[in-house]
Amino acid sequence: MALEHRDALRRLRFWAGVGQVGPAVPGLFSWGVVSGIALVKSGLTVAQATGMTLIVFSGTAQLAALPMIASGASYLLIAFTIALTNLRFLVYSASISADLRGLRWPLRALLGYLTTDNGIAIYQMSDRADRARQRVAFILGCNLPVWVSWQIGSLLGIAAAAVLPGTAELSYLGLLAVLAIVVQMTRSRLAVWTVIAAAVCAVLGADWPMGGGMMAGIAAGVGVALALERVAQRGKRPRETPP
Amino acid sequence: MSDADLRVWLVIALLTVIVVVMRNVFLFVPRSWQPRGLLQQALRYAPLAALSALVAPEILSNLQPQDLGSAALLADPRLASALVLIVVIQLSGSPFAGIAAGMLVFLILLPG
Repeated sequence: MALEHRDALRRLRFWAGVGQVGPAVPGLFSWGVVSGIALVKSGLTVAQATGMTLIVFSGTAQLAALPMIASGASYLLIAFTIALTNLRFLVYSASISADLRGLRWPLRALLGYLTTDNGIAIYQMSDRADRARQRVAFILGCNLPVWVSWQIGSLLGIAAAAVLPGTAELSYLGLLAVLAIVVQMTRSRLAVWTVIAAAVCAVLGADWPMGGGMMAGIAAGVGVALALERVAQRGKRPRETPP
Repeated sequence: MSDADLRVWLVIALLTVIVVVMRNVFLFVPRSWQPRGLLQQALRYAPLAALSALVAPEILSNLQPQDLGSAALLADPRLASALVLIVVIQLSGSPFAGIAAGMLVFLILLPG
């Protein structure tokens, strides 16, 4: 009886998660379609595109890798850039780690693999009063619909791109999706200057060897952000007023 | 398997390792290992800087320096669709409306 009750509670939390992430599903589906098309049109085979989507399961990582694959960037530059563009996953894993403590490692690894921006956003807004086991069900409910809608969208996009005509230039659609992420992230004046500094340096150094322009862009963007943050903090510090 | 095919599979393996490790790292190591101080601040802006540095050259890749100030600038599918996307997201607040508008402009201007 008590066991049944616990199961029912867990199921309830799972479906609560599904219900909350539900409104994001159509958007994620269409995003998946776009990146599926971009993967195939950028020159990946159907097997490669499908494998990448299922295993990597990160829109930013997949779409960011495409221009670098096309331009023949080194593995080191690809690894560095992808790690930086996906730093948020570090933060996410820290934020759910307390609730997953004590789970067997395969389940922990599965929940880690399923971590998504939308799922974590809902998880972080929810109240954390209930038991750890129910929270796990809730995390699963928040993330699983994202996985399903993204994968179905991607696979449809891959199939469509493989059958329908179209030039390699269509892979640029994937970059438009990445640009939309950049615009979404640019919410403060400090962020605007970060983007400008990074973009200008990367464009000026586009022909530099070994991805030098890309590196310079990242360094400039981060440097400008740190400098501006320091200036802002100095402004906030209360001034000593003479008597 | 051709060299190009092998290279793509190696990149996929590389992405898998990086993304899987980043998604799981604090599920397996103590949270107290989280970066702090200046490093933590730098890491906060690194994703935006990296994505910007990646996207910007691609948006301008069809253009030459001498196109600056000419009409070719706005007829370029890449630049025009990017500008439309930015404006639509700022006005509507919806990233998906922005992508849809940008895609539409891109497909209309695309030659052939």
